[in-house]
Amino acid sequence: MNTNALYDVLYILDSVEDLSAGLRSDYLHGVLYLSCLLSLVDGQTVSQWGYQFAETTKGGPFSDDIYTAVEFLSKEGLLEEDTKVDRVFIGSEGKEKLKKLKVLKTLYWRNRFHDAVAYALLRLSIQQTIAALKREPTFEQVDRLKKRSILFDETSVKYIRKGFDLIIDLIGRDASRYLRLVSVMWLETILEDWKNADAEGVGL
Amino acid sequence: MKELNHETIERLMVQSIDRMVASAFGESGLDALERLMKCVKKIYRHLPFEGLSMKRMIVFIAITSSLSLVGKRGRLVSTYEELAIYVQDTGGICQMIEEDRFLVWDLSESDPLNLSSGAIVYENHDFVEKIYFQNQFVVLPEVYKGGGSVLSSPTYWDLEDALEHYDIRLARRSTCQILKECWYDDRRILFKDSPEKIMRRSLEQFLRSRMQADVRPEQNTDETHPIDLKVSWGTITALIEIKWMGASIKNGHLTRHYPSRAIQGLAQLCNYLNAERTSSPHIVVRGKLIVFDGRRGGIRIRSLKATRPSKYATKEIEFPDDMLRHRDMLSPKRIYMEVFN
Repeated sequence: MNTNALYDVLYILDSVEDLSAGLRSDYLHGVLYLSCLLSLVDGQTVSQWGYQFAETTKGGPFSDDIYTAVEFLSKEGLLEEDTKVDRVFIGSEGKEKLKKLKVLKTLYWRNRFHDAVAYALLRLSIQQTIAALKREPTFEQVDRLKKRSILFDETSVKYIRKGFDLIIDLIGRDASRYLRLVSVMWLETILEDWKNADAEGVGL
Repeated sequence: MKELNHETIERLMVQSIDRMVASAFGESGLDALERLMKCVKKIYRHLPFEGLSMKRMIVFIAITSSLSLVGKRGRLVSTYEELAIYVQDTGGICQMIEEDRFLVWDLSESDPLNLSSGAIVYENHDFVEKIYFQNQFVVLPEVYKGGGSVLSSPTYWDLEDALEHYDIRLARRSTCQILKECWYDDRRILFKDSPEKIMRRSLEQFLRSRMQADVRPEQNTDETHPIDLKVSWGTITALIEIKWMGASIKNGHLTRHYPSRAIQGLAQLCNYLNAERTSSPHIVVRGKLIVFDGRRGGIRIRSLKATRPSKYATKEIEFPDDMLRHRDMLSPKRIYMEVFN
């Protein structure tokens, strides 16, 4: 079991609990993919994040580790699932577990990235957020003929960082809550560029 | 790999609410903005943005003073449910004091621009949403075509969208595999006996597969009258009543349903809604009448033909105004089912 994935699932579901009636399972993979992307802002590497994401024939971003974590947490009664509407929620036991995990040094460094994602979900709808992620240049470039393509290689990480740096140059890395602003601005820019490209009749 | 457009970033930065609020109120402003948006989003979990009957709602968080910015003494409210009930009919001004503690006033008490000198203020005025801060404001963009708020999940508008799709793609030409079973003949002149059961099953299956909501058939609202379908998004509900118009056949005898049948359905729905409002005042409920219209002009039973098959294609139903104006009623939908040519 990947502890990072397990923690991330609990943390993000707890963060959005008050704002939406749970999360659709494919959206859960999507928002945690955004957390992982944001960790690159601070110079982290994808391997430091602790698990990978892939684009599969059934869609993406998808992580085996998140999938396994959700299954495990549901079986243990820490998550609740509403299969009728395909939603997953954090349960009261899940909250207790999260409280214990939050104090661990090996995990709490991840909170700021999840907090920035939760803020983005306040400012953009979940549908807009996922739409932006799927139009993010590295994701767009994935070879969809392959059954499974691991997201992020050295070139794509370089491009993602470059995009973040353009935004940080304007915000300033010392600005308060800069990570929150980066997450919102990055998603809004992708959506806006896509809208403009669409209006001009060219794909991004 | 195409990079992000620098000009887009610069333009969005100029328009950024976060940047403007930060320069107006600093760190405490950003903190208040985040808390305000969370608060509004929570309100809309109890009060669907799309089904709002009130015209105006203002929510604010004071920054410069912990004291109320509104002259009169406000009423204290301590749950989001209670807050939603307070504002749902006439609107109101709410000040978030802390998590789950609010002061509320009537709308006449103040205006958002004045408040914003020392507060971050959210206003929804006739579905136009604004954030005010330090005597300026920004308009929040619409999320969905024709409206919708980023702070609210789509409910009733999503239902209307789904019904439009069902009408055009599945029902109009009876292309739905379930719905086509309601016809007695291939030319779609006459319905079978009691077609409403098939219509209900068709619509139920479609809504279940299409919507992120709980869809259930035949729900009792009182002991004698079950409602055809109930669609729920948490504490937000739509009651759907299904009626049909046209002619059905059983053992060679025709049964005809006229617009009076649809009007009767709307009256029934008004009664359901009144009953729901009395029995579950905490749940937001709206009613929707769906009328499957298979009327044909000049039906000849022996030859199973109609001399004017499309006579009623554009003939709308005239419902009594008072029923249409019912506070919890969504506009009735007539689905005209075409003849097969």
